[in-house]
Amino acid sequence: MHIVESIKNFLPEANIYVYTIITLLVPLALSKITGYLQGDKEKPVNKQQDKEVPAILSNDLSANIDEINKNFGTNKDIITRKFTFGKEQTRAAIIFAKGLVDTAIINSNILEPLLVNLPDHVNPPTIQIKNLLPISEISEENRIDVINTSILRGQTVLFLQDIDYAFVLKTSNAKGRNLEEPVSELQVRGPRIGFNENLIDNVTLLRKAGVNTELRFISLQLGKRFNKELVITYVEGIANPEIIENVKQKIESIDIDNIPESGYVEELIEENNFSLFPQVQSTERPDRVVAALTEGRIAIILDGTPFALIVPATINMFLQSPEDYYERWIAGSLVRFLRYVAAFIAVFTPALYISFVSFHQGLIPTKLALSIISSREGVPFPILIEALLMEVSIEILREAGLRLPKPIGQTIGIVGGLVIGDAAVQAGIVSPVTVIVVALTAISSFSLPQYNLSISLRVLRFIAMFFAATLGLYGVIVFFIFFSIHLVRLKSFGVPYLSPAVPYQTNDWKDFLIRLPISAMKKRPKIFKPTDTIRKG
Amino acid sequence: MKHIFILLRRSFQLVILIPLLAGCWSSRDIEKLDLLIGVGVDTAQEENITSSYYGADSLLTVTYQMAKIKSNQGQNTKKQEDKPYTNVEQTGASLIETAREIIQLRKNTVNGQHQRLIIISREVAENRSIREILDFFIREPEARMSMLVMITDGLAKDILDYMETDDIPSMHIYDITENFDKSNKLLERKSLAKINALMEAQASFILQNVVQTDGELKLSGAAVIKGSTLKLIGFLTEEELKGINWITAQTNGAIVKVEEEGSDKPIIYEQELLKSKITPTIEDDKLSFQVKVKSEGLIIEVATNTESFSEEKTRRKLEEQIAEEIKKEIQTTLERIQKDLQVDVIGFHDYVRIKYPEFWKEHQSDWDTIFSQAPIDYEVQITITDFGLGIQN
Repeated sequence: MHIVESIKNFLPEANIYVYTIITLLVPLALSKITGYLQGDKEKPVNKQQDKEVPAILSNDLSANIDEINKNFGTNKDIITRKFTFGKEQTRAAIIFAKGLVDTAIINSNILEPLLVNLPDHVNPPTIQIKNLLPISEISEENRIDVINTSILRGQTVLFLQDIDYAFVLKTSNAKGRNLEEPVSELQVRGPRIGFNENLIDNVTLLRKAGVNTELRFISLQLGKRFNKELVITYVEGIANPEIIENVKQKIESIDIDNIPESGYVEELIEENNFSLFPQVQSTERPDRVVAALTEGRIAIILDGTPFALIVPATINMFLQSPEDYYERWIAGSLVRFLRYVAAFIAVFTPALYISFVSFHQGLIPTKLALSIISSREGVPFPILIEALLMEVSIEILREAGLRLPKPIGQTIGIVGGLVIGDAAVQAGIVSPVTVIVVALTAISSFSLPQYNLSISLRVLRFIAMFFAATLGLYGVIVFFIFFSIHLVRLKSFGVPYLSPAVPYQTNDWKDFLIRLPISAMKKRPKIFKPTDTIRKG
Repeated sequence: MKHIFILLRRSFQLVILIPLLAGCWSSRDIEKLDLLIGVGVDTAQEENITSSYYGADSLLTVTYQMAKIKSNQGQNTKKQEDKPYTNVEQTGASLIETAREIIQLRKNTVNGQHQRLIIISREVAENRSIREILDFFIREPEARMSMLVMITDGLAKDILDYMETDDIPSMHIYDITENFDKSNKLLERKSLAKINALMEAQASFILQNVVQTDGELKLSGAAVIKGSTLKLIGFLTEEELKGINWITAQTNGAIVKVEEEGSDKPIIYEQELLKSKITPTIEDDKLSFQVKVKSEGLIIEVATNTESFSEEKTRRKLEEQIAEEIKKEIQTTLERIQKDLQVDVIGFHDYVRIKYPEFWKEHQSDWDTIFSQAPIDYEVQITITDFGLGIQN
């Protein structure tokens, strides 16, 4: 009995077991959740589908037309124009989508040659139709699905009697926005032109960057239901074929019904969905794209959006502006270095402020400490709450200003600035020092040239603040280490995100924190393993 | 098996996160602190002694000077006469006892990380080893070793209660010591860290003396602490401090006044550069020192016709005159510390220790006696580099 008693004494109480089980369950649950979230990524992408034999056209004209019209149902905008032409009264029909085509081209370049100006000797005209119509792009097609998509792209399809294919005639009239200065990436010096929503225009802009026979555009179709065109572009002879292949594969493996914007592509091809950092650069500026292409990067342009994507992305890209290269190098270097400092400030200032003020008062110079104390006198909240209050309201303000029409947006900015900056201090809700810190942070995050990085840093700032509030400076350092570990591990299309810092590439540092004169940058960035490494000289 | 590994990995990640759950344990908002700026130590005044369980002699009255915060909100409504500091006096047998008493008085916690100054009154320093007083500040983790230690020949609490400044008196005194580079009547800063080292070495040293004269706070002269007892044995005047500064060459700011031959009009030399070299020599077991002082400077103010200055001969003569004056100052000081006080407060022992380690080991214990008997030769070399713009040719 004695032994049993002693064993009983040795065993812990029941609640300890409960705690143990809970402690065990938490990581298990975490692993399940993350496994579930990452699950669809890890599935093999090569799903072998049994492809049906595509429907093709027959010899019967009316059957073909019916077949096409059946696909479009009762759509009012699909026009079928039947006619006969020539001596033998050949029956024919054109089908096109109203609005997507240029009616003038159809009238003068298709109908007029056939109905009015048809030379007598052409009979039957089927064989020579390509020679009859003054249209730049004509192709023959017999697959019904291809014909359907062609119609929806603004092509006109010409059916003739007794032949089992149709002519696809390019009559598209893509009405696009004019080429304007990009709104999201303004700069003082440099080309004032940005991409628009029209793929052809965008490709043209890149072509216009300079005559280059090695500039390649690979066209791909994306979207199962709303099909769209996407172009991968790179410079043959600079870009590494492995990376090209990698990008191509990733884009081809995208399996989604609709791609409204290149942000979708970005999210579907990036390596780590859980990272806070953008792993693909998006830009509206053709000059940025061209610069990236000459470094050996690859650009992706999607129809219907002015934002082109650039891969592989490294962190230094997000802190560079094309203007760095257009202005003189010393000024450019200074401004660029300033941006790195600003990025640091944007993430860490509130965290450092919190940790100094609530943990390490001894590290503040005495007179500053006294003035901070006097400014915080009477503030009812602890420093974290106060800082959060200000940060959150400034984020709301920023969001509000962004969504409103321009004139109202500015008013909101002024009103909000007054309310936050002055009234809150007057009312004793926040201290002036906190306002300064928050304002400094906000300004710093505005100074980053790429919007997507500055959003990421906003999130990081809040995490850093919580770390600081719980553990002080130690917490900030722990956070910094976590975040460095993450950055070092992060890769974009096989290229380390922190390069050229990690892995260290001495040569690439010429264009990293500062920008050396162009004459010093003789080689392309090594990290992309370009096939042609020499840039100049 | 794989699941177990994943589980282990996740558990490990969780373990890393555990410190975060503990949360905020040493967090204290800055406005909930009383910043301690200075401390004054006096012997207990009779009215303060309530229970004398240690005997009245052993009680100390400690003045804690803390910054008083004026709220920024609603300025101009409060009276401007408010002092920027709060002094709390506590009497007890040891410093920590008095420090703990404050908890019962103040709503905020006292934070010692900004402490600048300890002022020890003459009475305390004469009767107690200075280590007794400083020990608490050396051990206390919050206290900074960079704080300055000073002696007052009056009462420390009076110094800390000085009303005239719009600054906190401790800060005010601390800021004055920054001027030591500009005047050779001031002592170089003696931080707690330096004093700790000197106390460990049982060396004698001097501390800045702070006095209140005519309603002004003034750093004037120095207090001499004897190494063997760590007690105050005397004071040096401002003039005597000059001699020490010539030998140690710690400060560049000095002026020397000489009188022109034939008339009693003053000529004043302002020093710009000072170097000194101390060489110990042992001959026949007899220790002696050679001190070489080199100074460069300019004639800053004259009350006579300056025509003859540009002549080489006059300049030479002037230089010699100045050197003589400086030698006199050095001599006064050496006499005072060697004959009168018989302590080495200048740090000659360091030179001996480095050059003659054997000799030093042998005589370390009675160093002050040996020093007071050692002959010291000194040489002063003055170079006048400039006469300003007052020269006519």
